[in-house]
Amino acid sequence: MKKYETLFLFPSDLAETAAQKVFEEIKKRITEDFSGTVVFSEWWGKRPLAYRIGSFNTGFYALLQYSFPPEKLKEFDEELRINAKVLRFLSLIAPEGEPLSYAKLVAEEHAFSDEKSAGKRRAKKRPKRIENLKSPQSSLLSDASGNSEND
Amino acid sequence: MTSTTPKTSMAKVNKKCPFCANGEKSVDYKNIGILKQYGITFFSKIKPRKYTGICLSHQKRMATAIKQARFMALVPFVK
Repeated sequence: MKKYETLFLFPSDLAETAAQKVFEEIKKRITEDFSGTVVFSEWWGKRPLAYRIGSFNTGFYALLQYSFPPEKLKEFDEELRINAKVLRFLSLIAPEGEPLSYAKLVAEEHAFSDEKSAGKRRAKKRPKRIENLKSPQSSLLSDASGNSEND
Repeated sequence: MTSTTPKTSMAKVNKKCPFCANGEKSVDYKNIGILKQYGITFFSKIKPRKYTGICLSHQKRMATAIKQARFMALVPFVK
């Protein structure tokens, strides 16, 4: 028995409960039919995809760590591949140590997000532009007002 | 025309590998924050080692992690 880790991606045309049911079925298959044991499982929930897969822009993610007989892994992966209710999956040998929880992963992702850095860039540029624009405009306006008064 | 440009402009910046400093062996493809911080550019291209200062063994692991994250649609191929 070796410890493996699989990240599942379920299509978003399933309801969340239906997708969770598929996930539970997969877990059952591991424990009952392949005599493996589930070590860690976490439902990530709905997430936007980084790019479009078929007609899907969002999907449900779920992480599973389990011990499994290595000689039967090919058979299990083939089953997952054929399964129409699993959009994508990635099976790897589980990394050492406890897996990070999804809340922590999201927190680390937000700590370094593109929007934040883009916002910083904009925030730096904006006041400079306004200052540059304001000074000639105000001088022009004062000139114009002065001229009108003279006329 | 060989030595007109100053050498310092293209010199490699000596940074320490952040993974070696933390004592981490592997790079987790699920940790998108770390991939974004060290591994990929704004346009989701793999950053060369020259700019990030990651050591060779971790850079190779980082590259595979990015490719795995791309497959699972956690990180885009192209932005």
